[in-house]
Amino acid sequence: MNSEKIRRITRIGVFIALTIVGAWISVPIGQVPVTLQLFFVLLAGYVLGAKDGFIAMCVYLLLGALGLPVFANFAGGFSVILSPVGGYLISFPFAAFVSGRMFFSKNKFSKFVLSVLLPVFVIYLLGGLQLSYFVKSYKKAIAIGIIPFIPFDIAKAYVALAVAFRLNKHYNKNKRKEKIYGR
Amino acid sequence: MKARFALGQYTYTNSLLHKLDPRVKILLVFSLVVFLFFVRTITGYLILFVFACSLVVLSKNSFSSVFRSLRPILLLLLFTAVFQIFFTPGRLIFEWRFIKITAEGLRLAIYISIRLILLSFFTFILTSTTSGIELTDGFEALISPLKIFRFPSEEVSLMISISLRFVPVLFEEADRIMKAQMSRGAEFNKGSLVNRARSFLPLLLPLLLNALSRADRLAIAMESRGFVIGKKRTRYREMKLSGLDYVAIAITVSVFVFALVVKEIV
Repeated sequence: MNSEKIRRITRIGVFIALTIVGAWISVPIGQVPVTLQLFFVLLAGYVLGAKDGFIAMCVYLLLGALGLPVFANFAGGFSVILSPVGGYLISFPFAAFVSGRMFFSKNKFSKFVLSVLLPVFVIYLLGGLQLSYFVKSYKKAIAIGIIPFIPFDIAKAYVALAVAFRLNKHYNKNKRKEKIYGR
Repeated sequence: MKARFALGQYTYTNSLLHKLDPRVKILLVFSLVVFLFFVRTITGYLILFVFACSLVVLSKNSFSSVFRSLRPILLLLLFTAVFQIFFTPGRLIFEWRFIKITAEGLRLAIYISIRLILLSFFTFILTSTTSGIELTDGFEALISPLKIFRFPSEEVSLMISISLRFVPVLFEEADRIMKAQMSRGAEFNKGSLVNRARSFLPLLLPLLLNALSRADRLAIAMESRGFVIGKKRTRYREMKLSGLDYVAIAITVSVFVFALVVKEIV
């Protein structure tokens, strides 16, 4: 009980660190610099599960709100959450929750398709809503804040899913070893 | 790059603000952030701005470091202001082809930019005078009353300190793995979108596997040292309120009340 709980906490902690690092690394793909933030948000759900992924992302936002530069481009502070792009940040816990829920469901369709599309949709929904408050029109918000990013985001989400499957495979292999040799 | 590894702008200058209790600092900055939205006059904001500037002077930080910390949010600020100016309906004051500027939009843009700048000023003062450890300690003490509602305050602050500890480690590791794969001829910038996305796998898989095994090893290490969640622990650093803290609270509250009630002079 205790050891399981400590393990969960350390994993959540490391995943928050990974999300911070992912927001900092931006790789230019073509002309657009792409960060790995979304990748780690979804992966938090896939690896930690719905509940722990949700917690991890909430604490991540908390760190940002405290003023540490944990968001993309080393930005931080409450002002970023209140800015037009803040909706995307607020959606992260929910996206991680949804991705975890879908990934661990028995249904093949939700495991392989919905686990990618639904969290991305959640991010667009909340992000678009806050953006539309600033541009005062839903159409403009969709045109500026959603459509240009769809291909990249879906690609990142699929990479996250692929990585999650490999990680689980590796992890289960180690678990089997632990069972044989005893830990 | 290296300077940013430390997470935040913490610089030790041994000022009065560094000596304040972290709990007091966090509480004051957060109440400032919340109540900032109740100030409705430019004069009020001006008073707060002067207050923030004097705090920067008091913390012995240079203004150039403040502006360096502002730089990442500058783009966001511009973005926000432009949206407000162009998309707020109201009384037209300027029109050129499709560009329409309204008085209301201009007003909103100015207000929001001032608020955002003040917000980042205050958070800069907090993070530049409080180390990561102090921040988490203070934060844990502040949220510990929530235990009554079964809120896991100890666990949350543990997560925060673990993540802050691991950020520089993982950042360096990601950098190293990227260089290692590039020296083996990996290209992150060629081919179709699918190929590019796939080229990230050799970077991400080792990073994640290492990170997760680090997490599990840390859990084992903590457990073997007798760490039990929920058990009462003694502290190495005790936080105590001093006279200085009461003075800081009094000054901040009075400045703020002044900013709230002051009449517009412009």
